[in-house]
Amino acid sequence: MMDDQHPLRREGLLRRSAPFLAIALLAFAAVPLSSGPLNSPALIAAAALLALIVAAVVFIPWKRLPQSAAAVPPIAYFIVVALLVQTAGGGPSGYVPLVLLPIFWLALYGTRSELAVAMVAAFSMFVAPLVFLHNRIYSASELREALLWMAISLVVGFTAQRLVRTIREHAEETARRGQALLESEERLRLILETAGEAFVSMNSDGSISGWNPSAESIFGWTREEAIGRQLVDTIVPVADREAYKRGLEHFLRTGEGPVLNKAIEQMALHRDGREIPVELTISPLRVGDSYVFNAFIRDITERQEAEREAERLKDEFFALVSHELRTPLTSIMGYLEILTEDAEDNLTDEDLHHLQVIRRNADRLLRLVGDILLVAQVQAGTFTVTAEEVGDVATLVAHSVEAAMPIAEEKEIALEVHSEPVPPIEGDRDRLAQLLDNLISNALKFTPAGERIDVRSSNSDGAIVVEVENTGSYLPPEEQEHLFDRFFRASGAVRQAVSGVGLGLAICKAIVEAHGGTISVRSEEGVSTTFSFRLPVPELAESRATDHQRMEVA
Amino acid sequence: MTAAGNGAPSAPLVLVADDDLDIVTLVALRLKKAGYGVVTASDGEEALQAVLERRPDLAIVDVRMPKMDGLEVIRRIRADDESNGMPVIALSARVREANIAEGFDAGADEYVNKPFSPKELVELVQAKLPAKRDSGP
Repeated sequence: MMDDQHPLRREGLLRRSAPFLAIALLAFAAVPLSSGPLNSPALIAAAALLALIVAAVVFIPWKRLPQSAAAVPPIAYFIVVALLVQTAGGGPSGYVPLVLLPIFWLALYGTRSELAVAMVAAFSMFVAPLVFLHNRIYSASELREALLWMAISLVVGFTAQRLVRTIREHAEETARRGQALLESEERLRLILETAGEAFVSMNSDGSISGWNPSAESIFGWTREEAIGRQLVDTIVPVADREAYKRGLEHFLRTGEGPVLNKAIEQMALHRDGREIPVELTISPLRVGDSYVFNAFIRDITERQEAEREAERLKDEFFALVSHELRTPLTSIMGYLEILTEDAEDNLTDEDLHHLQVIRRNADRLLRLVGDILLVAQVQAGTFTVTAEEVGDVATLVAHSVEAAMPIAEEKEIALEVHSEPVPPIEGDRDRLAQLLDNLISNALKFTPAGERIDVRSSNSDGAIVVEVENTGSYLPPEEQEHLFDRFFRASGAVRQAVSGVGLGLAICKAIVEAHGGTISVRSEEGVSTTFSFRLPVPELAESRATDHQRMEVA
Repeated sequence: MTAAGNGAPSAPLVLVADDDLDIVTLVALRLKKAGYGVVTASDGEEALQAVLERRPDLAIVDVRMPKMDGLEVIRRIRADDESNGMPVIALSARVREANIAEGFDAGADEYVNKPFSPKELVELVQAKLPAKRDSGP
C-alpha cells in the first residue's frame, strides 16, 4: 500500500509515537512549575499511563496487529494530557500546543481515521471535565476558548490532512509515471537486446552509442569495446570508408541522404577482417541540434547463398532441358533425315507419310523445348536478342504469311497481307520471324472456317505497327489482361480444345519488349480480335522508308 | 598428318566424339558416305587419346562428355604442338550465349547447336576440310 512507502509509517510505531511521547514528557516537566500538587492521584495515574504507553509502543509487535491498533497510543496520549490538565488546572488555552501539535503531526503522517480518532480523544479531553467535574474548572470564557480551539484543531487537522494527501498523491503519481517510463524504456531495451537483427546507433561525431547482442555476434565486437569507437573504423570495409565519410558529411551539411530510411545491401566488416554481406536500414533521428543515426542490420550471407543455390538449380534446369531433351531430338531428326533422303526409293508412299508425321511432331517437340527455354530465360532475365540489320519488316511479314498459307487454305480461311512502306530497323531476325509466326498461327487456331485474317504493317509516329486481325473470335476483357502471362490459356482455347500450352503469346511479349516495343490486344464481340505490336524506329532510319507496296496473297 | 581410318586409304580422318552412341553412329555414317575416314570416341579421355594417337584432320567434339568435358579436350588439343592447327567443331545442346562464348574461348572453330541436321554438319566439315583434298589429280 502507498502508506507503507512513507518512511515514518515503515519505521514502526515507536518512531511514529515519539513526538507524542516527547511532548508528554515535556508536559510532565512543565507540571512542577505550575501550582498543582505533585502527589495528586491524577498525576501519578498520568505518569503510570505514560510509562505504559512507552512500554507498549516498545514491546508490543504492532505490525502483527490490525492497522487500527495504531490509534491506541494517540488516544492514551490524550488521556495522559487530560490527567495532567486536571492536576495542573488552568484554562484550556494553555494546553493547546499539547493538543494541536500531535493533531498536526497525525494530519501530516497519519491516516484519516487515525486523525479522526485522535481528534475525538483530544476533544474528549476538553469535554470530559465538563461532564465529570460539573464544570468546576472551566469559566464561561474558558469554555468558549475550549470550543474555539476544538474548532480550530478540527479545521487545521483536516485541512492539513487534505493538503498532505494531495501532495502525496501528486508525488505518488509522478513516481508511478516515472516507473512506467522506466518500464517502457526497459521493454524497449529488451526488444533491442533480443532482436535478431543487429542494432547499432551512432552519434553525429561518428562514434558508436548503441550496440545490441546481435551486433556483437555479427561483427565480433562486444558492446563494451564497440561503444565510443568510430563506427567507420569498426564495421565499414576499408574500400568504402571514404565514400561513407563523404556521405555523412554531406548529410550533416545538407540534410540529404539518398541511402537513409530504406533497406540497402552492402558489405560490412567483421572484427576478424572478413567482409560479410548485410542488409541495413539507417534512420537519422534529430536530437536537439545534432543527429543520432540508428541502424538495423541483418547478415544476409545465408540468404545470398540460398539465392545463389536457386540460381544454380535454375541453370541446372536449363542444362537438363536443353541437353536431355535436345540430344535425343538430334538422333530422331538426324535418322529421319537419313531415312527420308537416302531410303526414299525403298519406301512406300504410306511409309513416307508416316515419316512425315514423325518429322512434324519432332519439329513440334523441338519448338516446345525452344519455347520453354526462351520463357525460362525471360524469367531469369537472361533473354537477349541480337541487333542485326533486319531490313524491311514487311518482308518478314510476307514470309510468315506465305508459310502459313497452306494451313489457311486447308481451314478455308482467307489470309491477306496489307503492307505499307516501313523503315528498316535493327533487331533479331529469327526472333521477329518467330513473333510473326506465333501471332499468325495463333490467329489460325482461333479463326473458324469461312472467316478471314488480315495482317497489316504500317508506319506510325516513329514506330512500325504490325496488326494481325481475325474475324469470328472474341476475347472478353478479363481474359485480355492475362493473355500475355505464361501458361495462361483463354477459355475459348480450352473450350475448343485448341492445342498449345500457353507460351506463344508470353514469348511474343518477351520478343517485342526485348526490341523496346509494346504488344496489345483488342477484341470486339461479333466483329474481330486484333493483336498488334509496335517496334520503335531509330529516327535516321525513318527517312529511308521504302516505297508503298501492297501485297495480297490467297 | 596421318591419314587413316575406315574410309579410303587417302581419305582425311575426322574424329567424332560424343557420349551418345546414336549420334556418333549418325554422324559417322554421314561422314563416311561423304568420303571421310572416321575415328570415334565416347568420352573426353578417349577423344584426347584418339587425337594424340591417330592425329585426325578435323575433330567434332561434344561439349558435355563424361571423364573429361569437351571444352577441356579442345583446350588440350590447342595446347598440343602437333594438333593445335586442326579445325575443331564443338557440338552442344546448350544454347545460352555464355555457353557458346565458352566454346570459342576454349578454341573451337565452329559451334553447332543440337539438334543439328547431319547433312548440314557434313557440309560444314566439307567447307573446313575438302574430302577429296588428298585424292586429287
